[in-house]
Amino acid sequence: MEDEQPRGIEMGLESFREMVEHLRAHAPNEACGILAGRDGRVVRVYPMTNVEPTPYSYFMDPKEQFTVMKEMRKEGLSLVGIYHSHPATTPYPSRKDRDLAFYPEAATVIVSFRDPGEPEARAYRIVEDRVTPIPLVVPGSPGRAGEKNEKLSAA
Amino acid sequence: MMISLNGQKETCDDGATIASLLQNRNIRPEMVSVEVNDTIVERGRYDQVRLEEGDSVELLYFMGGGA
Repeated sequence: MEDEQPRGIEMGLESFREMVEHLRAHAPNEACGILAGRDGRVVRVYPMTNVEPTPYSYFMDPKEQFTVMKEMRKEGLSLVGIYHSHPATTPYPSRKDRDLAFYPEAATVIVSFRDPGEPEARAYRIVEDRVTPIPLVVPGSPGRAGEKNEKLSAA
Repeated sequence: MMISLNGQKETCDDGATIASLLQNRNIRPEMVSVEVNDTIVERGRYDQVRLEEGDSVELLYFMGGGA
């Protein structure tokens, strides 16, 4: 089993804002995307199309998924995280999030907009239905940078 | 025979289908999308599509969830 001491995920402030603004733009529906990088550090955000757009579900377009994963491979990037929004609920993985967590090596990043003025971002590892909170570090953020599971002001 | 699987060279049985490739790797077909030579294959055809030497196969698990 990996991660006795779970590795966190690090994103630059610009990438973090790109992710949050993409998710906010699709509210009240859920939105989703891929975080690519190296060694747990995000270097590229890929906003993806949610082909099941409702306030309580997301499903990435498989065709886009193929395109992005191949591009990442070509550029030497790994799958660091998969992000999505919870427009009106807490940023904790739902039953469906856990059932469809097929990439245990990737962080699950959830941004809650239940308080639209103060989106709350959290990161987890989900391995065989076990959910472990991990640090989400956004250096230079207006929140508590460097601490685990940032709660950040709206960008 | 040799195929490329997610960018890695892999051996697979002559006459293998997508269905047998998944089965040999204990992958549930309903959890993945499959592309062969840049064309997505419908799940209902996994047992009909035979792989050939040098084919480029991409397997991706679905990415989904919800609140």
